[in-house]
Amino acid sequence: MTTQTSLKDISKKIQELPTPDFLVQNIIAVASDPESNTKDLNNAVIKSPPLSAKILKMSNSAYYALPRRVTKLTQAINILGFKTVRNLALSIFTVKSYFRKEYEFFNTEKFWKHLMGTAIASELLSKHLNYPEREEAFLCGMLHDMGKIAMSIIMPDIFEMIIKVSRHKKISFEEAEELLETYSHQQIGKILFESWNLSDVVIDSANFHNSPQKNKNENTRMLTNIVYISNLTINIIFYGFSGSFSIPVPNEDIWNSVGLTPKKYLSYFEKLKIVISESEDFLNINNIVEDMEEE
Amino acid sequence: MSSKVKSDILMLAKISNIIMELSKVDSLNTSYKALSDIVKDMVEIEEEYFFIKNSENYEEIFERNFSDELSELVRWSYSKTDISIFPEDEGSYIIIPIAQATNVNFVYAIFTKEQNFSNRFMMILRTTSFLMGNLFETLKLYEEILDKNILIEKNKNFLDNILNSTFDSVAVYNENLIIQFMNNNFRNVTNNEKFRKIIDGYVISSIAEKQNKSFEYEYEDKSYSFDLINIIFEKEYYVLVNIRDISGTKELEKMKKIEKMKNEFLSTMSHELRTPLSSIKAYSETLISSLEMIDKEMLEEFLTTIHNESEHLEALLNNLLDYSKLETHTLTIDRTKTDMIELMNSVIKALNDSIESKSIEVSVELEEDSIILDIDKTRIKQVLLNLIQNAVKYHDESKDKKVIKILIRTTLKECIIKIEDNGLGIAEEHLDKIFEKFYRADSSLTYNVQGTGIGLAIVKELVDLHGGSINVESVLGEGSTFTLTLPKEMV
Repeated sequence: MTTQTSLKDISKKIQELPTPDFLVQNIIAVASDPESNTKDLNNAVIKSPPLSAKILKMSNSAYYALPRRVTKLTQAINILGFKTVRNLALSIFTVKSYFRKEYEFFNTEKFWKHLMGTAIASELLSKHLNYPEREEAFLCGMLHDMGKIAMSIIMPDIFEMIIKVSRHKKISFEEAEELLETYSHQQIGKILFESWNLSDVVIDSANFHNSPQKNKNENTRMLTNIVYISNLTINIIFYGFSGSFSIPVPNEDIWNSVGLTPKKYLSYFEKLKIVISESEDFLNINNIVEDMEEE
Repeated sequence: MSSKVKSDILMLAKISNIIMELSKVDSLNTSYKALSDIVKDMVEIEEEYFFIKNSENYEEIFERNFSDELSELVRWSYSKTDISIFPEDEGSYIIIPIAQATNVNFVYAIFTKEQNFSNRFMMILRTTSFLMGNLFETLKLYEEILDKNILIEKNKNFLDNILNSTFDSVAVYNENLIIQFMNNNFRNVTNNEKFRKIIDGYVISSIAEKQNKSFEYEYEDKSYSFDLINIIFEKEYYVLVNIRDISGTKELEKMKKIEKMKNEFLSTMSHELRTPLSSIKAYSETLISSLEMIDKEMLEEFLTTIHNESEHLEALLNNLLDYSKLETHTLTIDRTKTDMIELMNSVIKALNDSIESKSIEVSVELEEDSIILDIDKTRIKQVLLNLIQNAVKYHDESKDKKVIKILIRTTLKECIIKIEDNGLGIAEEHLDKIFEKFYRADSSLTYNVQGTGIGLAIVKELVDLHGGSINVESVLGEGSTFTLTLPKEMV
């Protein structure tokens, strides 16, 4: 099947998909600039009142369980941090641009739960592994499977076929991709985030989240490994939500390289179940989608 | 230089300073001040607090007062374990949890008038918090190890103390004969190089044979018990050496043995005394009851027997007297000029009857015709009598030719008398004990031969009193040689 469509054609199609607009790009830039301050980020976000409102709403979700209600964006920036606000902005952009379509065979609400679940799982795993870049882990986890959504838009027939094969054969999404000899959602995710102009950590964790041993970039390896383990774990909790109907045996080398002992993993797993159960509103796509029609 | 590069360099410089500052921290207490200094360097602080969680409550380490509101923020940051800034009306609370992974060590909270913060400030705070979290954990571990070391040291001292308190000398050798441990007693005992070499020798053979050894060893008038025990610890081979001074126990054993021998001596003595007494009594009774029937010849025979037995009795009583003198150390000698050869001849003559009755051939070999010594004549006669009597007594019936060879010669300062027989001989284990009081090589209760067991003890004492010496060489079944040495000049 891949022989029919060249990589070049695929890339061209992906580049036609929505990319973060100037406003979101600017938020990303300001949040990463050490010279910027609370006011700068506030000014960048406030340009879109609906985005600001949604960020405030998400900041007040049970997931963050803030000790006081946040009413101003500057408060959200100071309490949650620059990069968390950036992540929320990107999540809102992603839902707005990619999750408005309904499929018979694919439940986007559940898929969003898989993405946000992996984001939460990655952030929590960073904490448990004493890895400092927790917000980056959140972002990488949130975006890792976006290649599937892109796939559903640019090659819906193949996407449908993969989902069906995975479900009927009880195999994973990537095994179904191999079986059908199609482009993988990992490759597509990579091209997608290159066109979004995102950092290497996001690109590599999208490209290697099912095969982290292939990632040769040392700077992004830890985050890729964290997303790999978080994705596996979230697939255990939200079985089938990612369109994958088999949970592969974890790679021992990766497991050991992040320093995850059985005891640590168990404590992480128990904590994750609690956090997920307490973050219903945060995982619910409808909380982001509602009111969007007015924009 | 681009502004991005400038900014990066500035950030690196700042972080380098923080690392420098943190590297000076050497205890949990100094870490609080270091953290405070680092933050004060970046922002003006109005108030600062250090919180630790105590079960469900939050306590300020330096007992500063704090509001309930702040307590809520601290509670939240304990679960979030990330830097947060809470804006207030006139400033902001900055909450910095010091954590490693999910474990929060403490929370540093400050109040500042500032409300607008740079991304860089947040990034640096975060790096600080992360570094501090790891440092604090390491310090905690370090202090735990220190505490544990003190405990281990204490336990070690306790065990050392115990091992030094024992009277035993204890050491552990490894396979290469290097001492891994020794207690003070062992150190003292092995200050003697020679003794140390003896111990090492046994350890070497214990290692070679891979066998435990237990035995007694005598060294310089002292008795020791040796125990060499093989130990395998974590696949390494060691020998535990335990040496105990058992001289006291040995002395006690010896005294008990003497006590036993004294008792045996008494029973032997009574028996010995009874025999001549019985015959004297029997013969004298016969004489009284049948006086008119006895002819002169018979009378002479009877009276001779009575006389002989009386002499025997006298000799026994003299012996007993000497023994008591021996016990009380009151044996004395009375020296006169005496011819040794003449003395010897008189002794042989006195024993002539018993020598002939056992068909023993006695030869005397002389180098000189007369040897004049300044000795107690009676006592030395007693010595010679005893020695030759023994040679006669312990003759070997199974030998065709029974001989006693006596050799008398002189050196410049000494007179040496050798009395050699081909009698029963003395077993090696008894050789060094025959001069002890009451010692008899055969059990005194199964005596084939008469004897009280004090003869040789008295002989030795008498010879010693003369400043001389007496030695014995013997092979069981072949015979014995007693060598008596007396000084020519009075000592």
